[in-house]
Amino acid sequence: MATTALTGRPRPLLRWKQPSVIPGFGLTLGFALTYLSLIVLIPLVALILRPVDMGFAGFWHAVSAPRVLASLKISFGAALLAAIINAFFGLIVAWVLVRYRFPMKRFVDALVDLPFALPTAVAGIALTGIYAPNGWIGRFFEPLGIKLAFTPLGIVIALIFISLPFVVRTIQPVLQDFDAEFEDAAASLGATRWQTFLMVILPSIAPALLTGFALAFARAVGEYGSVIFIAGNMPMVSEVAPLLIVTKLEQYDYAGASAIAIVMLCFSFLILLAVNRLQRHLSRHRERVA
Amino acid sequence: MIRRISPATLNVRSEPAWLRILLIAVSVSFIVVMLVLPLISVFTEALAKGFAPYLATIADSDALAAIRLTLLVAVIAVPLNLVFGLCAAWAVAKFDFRGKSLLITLIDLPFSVSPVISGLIYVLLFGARGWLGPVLDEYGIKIIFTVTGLVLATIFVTFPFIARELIPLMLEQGSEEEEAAISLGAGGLQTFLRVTLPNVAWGLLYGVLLCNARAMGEFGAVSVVSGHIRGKTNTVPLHVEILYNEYDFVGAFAVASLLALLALVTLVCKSLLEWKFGDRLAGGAKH
Amino acid sequence: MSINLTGITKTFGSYQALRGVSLQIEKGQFLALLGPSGSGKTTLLRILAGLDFPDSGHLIFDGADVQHISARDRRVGFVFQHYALFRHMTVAENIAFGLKVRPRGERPNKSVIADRVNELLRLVQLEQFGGRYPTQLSGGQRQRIALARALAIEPKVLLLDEPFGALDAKVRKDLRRWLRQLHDEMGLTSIFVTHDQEEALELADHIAVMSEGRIEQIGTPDQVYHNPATPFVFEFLGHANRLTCRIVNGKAAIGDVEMAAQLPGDSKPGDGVAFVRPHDIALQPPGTSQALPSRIRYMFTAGPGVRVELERLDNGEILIADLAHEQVQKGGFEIGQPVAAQLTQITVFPAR
Repeated sequence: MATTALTGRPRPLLRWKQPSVIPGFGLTLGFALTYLSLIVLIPLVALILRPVDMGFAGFWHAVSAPRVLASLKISFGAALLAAIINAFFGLIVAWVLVRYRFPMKRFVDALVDLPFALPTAVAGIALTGIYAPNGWIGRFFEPLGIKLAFTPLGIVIALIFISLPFVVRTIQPVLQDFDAEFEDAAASLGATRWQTFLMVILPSIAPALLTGFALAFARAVGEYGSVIFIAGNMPMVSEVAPLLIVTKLEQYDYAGASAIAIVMLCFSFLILLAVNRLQRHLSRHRERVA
Repeated sequence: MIRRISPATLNVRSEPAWLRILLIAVSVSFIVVMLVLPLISVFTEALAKGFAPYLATIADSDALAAIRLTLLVAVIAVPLNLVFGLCAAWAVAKFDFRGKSLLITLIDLPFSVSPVISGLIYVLLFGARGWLGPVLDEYGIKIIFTVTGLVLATIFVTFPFIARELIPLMLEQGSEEEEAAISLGAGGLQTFLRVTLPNVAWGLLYGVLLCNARAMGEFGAVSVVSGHIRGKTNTVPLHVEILYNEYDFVGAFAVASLLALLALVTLVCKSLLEWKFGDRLAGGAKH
Repeated sequence: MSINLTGITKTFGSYQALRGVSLQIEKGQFLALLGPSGSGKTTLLRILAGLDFPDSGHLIFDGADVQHISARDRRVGFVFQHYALFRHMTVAENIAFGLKVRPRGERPNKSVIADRVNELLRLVQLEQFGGRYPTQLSGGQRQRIALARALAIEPKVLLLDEPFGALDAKVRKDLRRWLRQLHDEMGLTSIFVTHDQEEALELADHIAVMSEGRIEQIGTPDQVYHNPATPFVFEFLGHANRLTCRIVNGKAAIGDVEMAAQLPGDSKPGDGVAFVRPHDIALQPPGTSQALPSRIRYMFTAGPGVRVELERLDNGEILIADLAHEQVQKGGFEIGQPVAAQLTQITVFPAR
């Protein structure tokens, strides 16, 4: 009977994919999922299941060791400070790049991406050279009794360097899309420029600013390459968590290394979740503006 | 009272000149101090003792071996991630299915994992005391402290770059052109090669560029799985560290200058692509 | 090509886009799918092209079931709403695409393709634009290139999704006339989607009015406009005054007045809804029998005529009437003046 011609394919109750004329779904998704599982998911699961191996008490013991706690505190503290500094300067840089015209602007704009492109080890030794007591910048602080390199301050400097592009590059497109009509409206309603910025512009770019901040923070917490050169790596003082993982690995203390890694991984997931939320909010907002 | 103001400040969309200049000055100084100075210092330190020692360090056999290894790792890792990026972007951008946003999130995952952890997970899996290590050892397969380990760690770290670049681009372009091609009688591969690929070619190139820069420059993840065997499992960034720790600063900076040059070339290509195809590359803000 | 659709349904998630659509299209017809946004008309068009798949129902082209024939092989010319021109190809390459991607055996050789492209460029009157890129063309030109590209594969049926939606009024008018001519000359079967009733009335020889995933009425423009089958069709095609009434003695009682009206089939007594087009209202001196006592609240020149807002004296409802200038002058009508509104044609549907 002809009715079955089109109804031949029974409609499942829960259809997980909309039918489409475009071919290649099975092949591409299949490959993507296999590759994702082999490279990312299975190894990560191996890490997450480690505490099962070592027992929860062992896990807790490893995490609560004073040296571990100190390293986590340093990593998170320095990363937070660096992200805050970057949020402030990043906003100014993004604003200047979007709103003003000045000589060499394109050059400055291109340079912002340098930390993405420059290997962290190179950044590490370069920053150490500059901020060391006899370095180009360090020598001005030496007489004041301020040591930059080989102290926690050095860690913050390295983290500012590597996470600088995140804030700038997340705010820039949002600022670019911001419709100047809103500013005109605010001005015509009697707002000063500063009021317009605080009450009209800032709220619209706040999700982007937060996203950039979170990305910068997440990246900085896990940073290793640039930090180990400038930090001095004194246990309890300037030893970051990723370095402690490496140290423990070199001593074949797999349990200890995984314990720190899991704490950091949980934090990464939380940040990722928050960023996803913000991004969704952001794209909704941008749709509305458009 | 009505304030009288000069025409220059009448523009409600801008700030007074002094503030503009101040903000520009702050931005430029911040960029110069934080970014430009380190970059310049790499080259000045590398050439501190002149050209001859510089060239000697680079021509050193260990350095050359490191360069060869870095190139080898990139040549394997980047194409694999390229194929993955194309597949993932095609599946995500052209189809609607359950769990799509979860997939996008998982693709981003390696971005937010510390490089050290990226190396650690492979040690836990394949290392001498890892889950699979002893089994593989019986068959004579070694992964940690070998090139395979370096490649795996590099793939993990550079995993999202190309997919990240392509997904927003292809989502934005929608499927209308592909549907048009198919309604005109084109097959799947024809549609991909003739319609989709030309539309995303520049974004793809851009993603490959970033992926390559990161693959060649990766330090943390590679450091964990490498074992630092000179001439064997030592990549260029690891070689920088070794020289630096031996207080051979000129040597360390000389090798580092190669990586800095790579970064500069990447930036120049990226800027050229952006100036030419700026509107089409808008998606790639975060890495 | 004749097309036969029966019982087509389609859901997207929890949203039901089509709720059992049946439709018959004869060879050579120029059919408009007319309806507001969300009525399912574009989904129906995409199902015809093989770009979307129905959940149930069947789809017959020239007596053959095409459900399992892919969009590639349906030989359907589809003109996309935003044209979907390949932006990295020139106009000529765009038009040639459908021929170039044919399997090696069926592919025409290069000079045949070139001739065909030129012929189509001439047809759409853009001979000198072959080397340009789509971004270098105006909206109307892009539209014509999209059409030429669809025609290149010698389709058996031409489908157009909101073909004039993105164009300005002047270009739209010219293109409509041109498209109508093209359809007639090429002997195509064409179906287009639109939400613009004027466009549908002008262009199509048949109109299917759609609402909420169903077809409300199919017929010639005349039938649909003058004999709307449902209140929705009446209100969607042109302006309409809506009055509550009762059906008594085979007539419509509006207020206290019983008037002759076109009643629903059974014309059972009961409550009803009466529709009157603005040009079916005439103004008479107050006190005229068989008319509604009213007052002129406002009037203004609207294009060729005068639009009059009437306030019914019995219940204060507003009626809109369209009159000719001469009528207004002859009657000496002024704002505030009491009149009697005579409804010359009334269509009544049973109240729901």
